[in-house]
Parts: sequence; C-alpha cells; structure tokens
Amino acid sequence: MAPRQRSALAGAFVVSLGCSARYEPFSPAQQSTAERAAARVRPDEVQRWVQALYDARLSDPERDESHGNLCGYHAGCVYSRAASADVIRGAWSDPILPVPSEQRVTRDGLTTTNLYLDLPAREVSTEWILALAHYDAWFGGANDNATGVAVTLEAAFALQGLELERNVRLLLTDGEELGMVGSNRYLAEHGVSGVTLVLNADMIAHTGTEGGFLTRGPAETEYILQASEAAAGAAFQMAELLRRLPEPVSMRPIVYPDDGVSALGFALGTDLSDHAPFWLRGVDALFPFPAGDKPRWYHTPDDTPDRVDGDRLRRVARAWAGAIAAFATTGARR
Amino acid sequence: MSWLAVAALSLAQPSFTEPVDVGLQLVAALGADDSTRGGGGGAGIELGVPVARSPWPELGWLLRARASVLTGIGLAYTLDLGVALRLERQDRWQPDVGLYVTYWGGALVRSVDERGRLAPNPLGLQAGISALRFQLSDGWISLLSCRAGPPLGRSGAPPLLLSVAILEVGQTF
Repeated sequence: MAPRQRSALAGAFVVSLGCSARYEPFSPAQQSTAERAAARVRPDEVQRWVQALYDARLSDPERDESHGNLCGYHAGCVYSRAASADVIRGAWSDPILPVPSEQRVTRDGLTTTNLYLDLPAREVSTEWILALAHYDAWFGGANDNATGVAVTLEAAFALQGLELERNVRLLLTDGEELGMVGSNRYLAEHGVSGVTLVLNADMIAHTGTEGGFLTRGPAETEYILQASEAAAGAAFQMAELLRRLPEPVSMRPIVYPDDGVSALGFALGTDLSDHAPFWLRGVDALFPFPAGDKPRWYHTPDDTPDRVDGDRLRRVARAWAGAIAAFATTGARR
Repeated sequence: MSWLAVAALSLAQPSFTEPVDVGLQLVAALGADDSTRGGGGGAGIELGVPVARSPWPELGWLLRARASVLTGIGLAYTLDLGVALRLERQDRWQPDVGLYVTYWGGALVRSVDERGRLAPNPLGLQAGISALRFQLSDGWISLLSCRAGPPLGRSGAPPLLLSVAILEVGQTF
C-alpha cells in the first residue's frame, strides 16, 4: 500500500472514531505565488473566450445531433466539439506559450481529441499538477463548459514566467458529456504517475439555487469544493487561499468518503465530471461547483453567455490561476 | 462504545435477572446538517432491558442500546442509547415511545471548517416511536419504527438525523 493510501486510511480510521483531523494552510510563499498569478489574469480575455467558444459552437459545421438521447433535457440536442477545439488552438497559439499537444483517439466509432499544454517546473520535477476542463458541449454551453475552458486557457498566460516547482499540465478534454470519454482515454494513455493533484473546472461561474442533499452548504456558501478523502487537506488549502485573495471566493470544502464516488452519492447529488476517473484511480482531485442545484437551463439552448455570472467569472478566473500556482509551488523556497 | 461494554458486562453478571430483549433490525438512516451528511441502509442489533415499572401497571420503562452498520456512501455506523416507555398489555400490540442519544460515524460526507478541522461525528437527540410492534408466541416483530431528531450543536436546513427500523424481529432471553 502506498504511503498516501496508508495516510488516507489512517485518517478515515481517526475520523470514524470521532476524532477530527486538522489541516494546515498554504505557506506564505505559496500564498504569495498565488497572488502573483491571480493578479496576472485578464478578466476581459476570459469573458471574451467564453463568448468565442459559445459563438463557435453555434456555428460549428460539425455539430452532431446523433447523441441527442444523451442530452436528456431537451429534444433535438446538439453536440459540439470541433469548433471549440479550434478556439482553444487559436488561444494557445500565442508565441509566448509553449506549443500545446493533442491526443487524438478513435475507438468504438468515436474520435476524441484532448488538448494539453505543459508548463514545466523551473528545475526538473517528476510531480505534476493537472488542471483540466472539458470543452465539448451541448448546444452553445456558455456555462457548461466555456467558463471552465476560459479560466484554464487564461491560466496558461497567468502562470507564464512564474518559478514553478512542480510541472503543470493544462488539459482540455473532449467527450465529457458522453461519459467522461476524453479523460478516461487520457488516463489510458498517460496514467497517473507523478500526478499529485487534479483540479477540474466545470460550470464554474453560474449562480446556484438551493442545492442538493450532498451539495448544499450554508446560505453564504458560493462554491462547494468537492474532494475525495485523500484530498481533504488540499481542499482546505485551496479554500483558505481563495478566502484570502484580494478578490476572494468563498469555497466550502466537502470531503467525500473513500474515492468520492458511489451509487448513493451520485443519486443524492454528487456531481460527477472529469475529476471522477481520477478519484477512482486514487488520485487527489478537487472539483469546485457553485453551491446549489444545477440550473434549469443546464444542457439546454438557454445556456447562454448572459447566464454567466460576470463577477464570479472574474474572481474565479483569478482564483483558478492562483490555486494552480500555489499547488505547483512546494512552499519550501520563495 | 463504553455503554456496550457496560451492557455486555451486565449481561454476564450472574445476579442479573431481568429479561433481555435482543432484536435484529433492517435499518435505513439519513443524516444531514451543514457539516456532515450521510446514511444508507444496513443491519442493526438492539438490546433492551426493562428497568422500571411506571405508576400505571401496563406501562414499563426500557433501557435500549443499538448498534447499526449502514452502507451507502461508504460504510457508516450509528450507536444509540436511550429509554423507552412501552405499553405492555396482555394482547399482542405493544407499542412504545422513547428518547435516544445517537452517535453517527464512519463514512459521512464532511466539511472542513475555516480552521482546517474536518467535521467530527455528529451526536444527536432523537425521539422514537414503534407503533407497529407485536408480541408473537415466540419473540416479537416490529415494522417501521422511526426515530428522528436534531444533531446537537449543528446548523442546517434542517439539521436532522432520521432512522427507520423497517423490520425488526426479536427474542427475549
């Protein structure tokens, strides 16, 4: 059994006896790195990318109506991927960024293309922070998930030139809406070796409603930060970091037992997205989701840019870059 | 668990003469507050010991202890201790009402507070009713016994610990 697994098991045992574990926040050096990254985020660009992804999907010549039965919420469901990928390629073609890579897989009649961009550590490191978001969408998908893609695109720029101590991979996945196909295919090829933490941005800037049984927080909660048991400490660190940023974001860490995924958990409102395949493989993964139930426009043509909460998008884009930077910094050196 | 040890030791005492009810239950439980959520379905075992008669001859007080294991979001457990007032008439219908302290642990969904502390196990106070308990010629059967009440010191909308013993069969020793 790996040390991390032993630690998680010990933690679970302690909790089961009723003793409460306690976690430590980021170091001042990590907080400082996070604030620098957050300050570099360009909110106007993030907003522009949301609009660009939405517009591109609506005019996508390769829109696919063959998966309509999976949409579930609206007749005539339209699935769009190719145009979003082109927007991403364009955004990441900036010469100040490293050249992105693509993983194209055709299997069972479905071709998926994951796009990823690596930001290497200042010195050689075997550890990776993986920040991901899915770019495929039903209809225009302004919230689901142009917002997640936009904050991930911008993180590439915000983290440029920072002295990272862990490698960062920004991964934009395909086929999430079809059952996390892209992330599973990514894992099949790349595995989880060296991945210390996964951050998943999916529908990251809407305003929630009342909340489900497992995803509800106190009234003031903006986000539920879903974590597997082994990632509880990282969840607290991220929530605490974001609370202290100049433009704070309120996240409430919620820790799910074991790998975070169970039939009952899913039935009661655990939101599954591209982090779930990593949870199931024992990788620490965090998934912030606006507190509350999914809105009525979820997976419908009404998921439009005017339903993106602009204030949230700006703050969470800064928070996202800041969190990635902090996790990619060990805190041992300034 | 100390009450279980006390109960076990009490049972082992040669001088202990009161009959002991032992019931096996099929339990469903759900708990929610702002810090912890969870529950599921599983099995429970309950011990009941008559401790006193009430001023009314048909009513008797019982001391009850229950342990249950639930599977839902992982494996959780509950420990309950309480007292119940049971109608003990000569016919078969023997309902009871009670008040219980309940402790939930194991695999619960937990929040981490602003000081970095993972939410501890909830302790709650539950009122209970067993309206459908019937004495059989050998043992008893009970259906849909409910216990519900708030976790102590927790907030939520609403903070609630709820358990239902869907079916219980038991024997008196």
